Amino acid sequence: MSFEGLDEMMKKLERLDKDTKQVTEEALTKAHEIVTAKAEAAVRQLPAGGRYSRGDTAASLQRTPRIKWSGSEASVEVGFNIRKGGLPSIFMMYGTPRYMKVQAMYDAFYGSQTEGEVINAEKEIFLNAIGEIE
Amino acid sequence: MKEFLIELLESFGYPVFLQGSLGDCAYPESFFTIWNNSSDDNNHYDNEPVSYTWSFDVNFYSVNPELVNNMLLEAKAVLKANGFIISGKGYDLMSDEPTHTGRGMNALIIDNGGT
Repeated sequence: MSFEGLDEMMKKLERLDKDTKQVTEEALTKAHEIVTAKAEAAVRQLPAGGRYSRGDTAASLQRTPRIKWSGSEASVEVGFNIRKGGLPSIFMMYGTPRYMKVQAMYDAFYGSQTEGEVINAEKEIFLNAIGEIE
Repeated sequence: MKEFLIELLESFGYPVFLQGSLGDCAYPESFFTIWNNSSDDNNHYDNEPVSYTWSFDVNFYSVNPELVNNMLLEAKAVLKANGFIISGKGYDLMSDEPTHTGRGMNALIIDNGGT
């Protein structure tokens, strides 16, 4: 998570004696929700309309946000679990010489629209926590 | 920008295809593929975009795994020298053919060409 003004917002939260960890986790959970919803929609665009799919890829999507802390840095895992059948998501994300990529899958993780939505949602959660919006 | 990218990649002497366009054709021994992800507006003047950021996937496939690694890095150096922004050293790609392996990278370039 990184956006303009984040450091100042964190300082304000500390000054207000708010739980910075809780707000950070709320923001990461929201980011996870946005990306996962887009990946969920993209995985339905399987080649051949999913005729040959057993649903393993969709089932391997990490739907529960797992937030990890390393010192003062927090992260949340998003995407498909390769060991649980998520390998085709790589094929969908980048395509192959014979098969076009599924742009929606790539955009779910790397698209500028996703990035913008995540930043706006995270900002809103922080601004709300410091009382600058309701 | 797409033409510019193709021109730079063709300078290595390998064919360049659009990712996904090979169909039933046989894979060449070594080749590049590209894909344009987006060409988002950057700046506007008088309600018109005046610059764009183009995002491309640049991929290299070959029967020679060592060449796959090296050629992608060589391509990165040439693209960077020509204004492309590339982060990292690439990632593995899936191939339709067991004979070939592939590596890819994302290449961005700012286009100040206006509308």
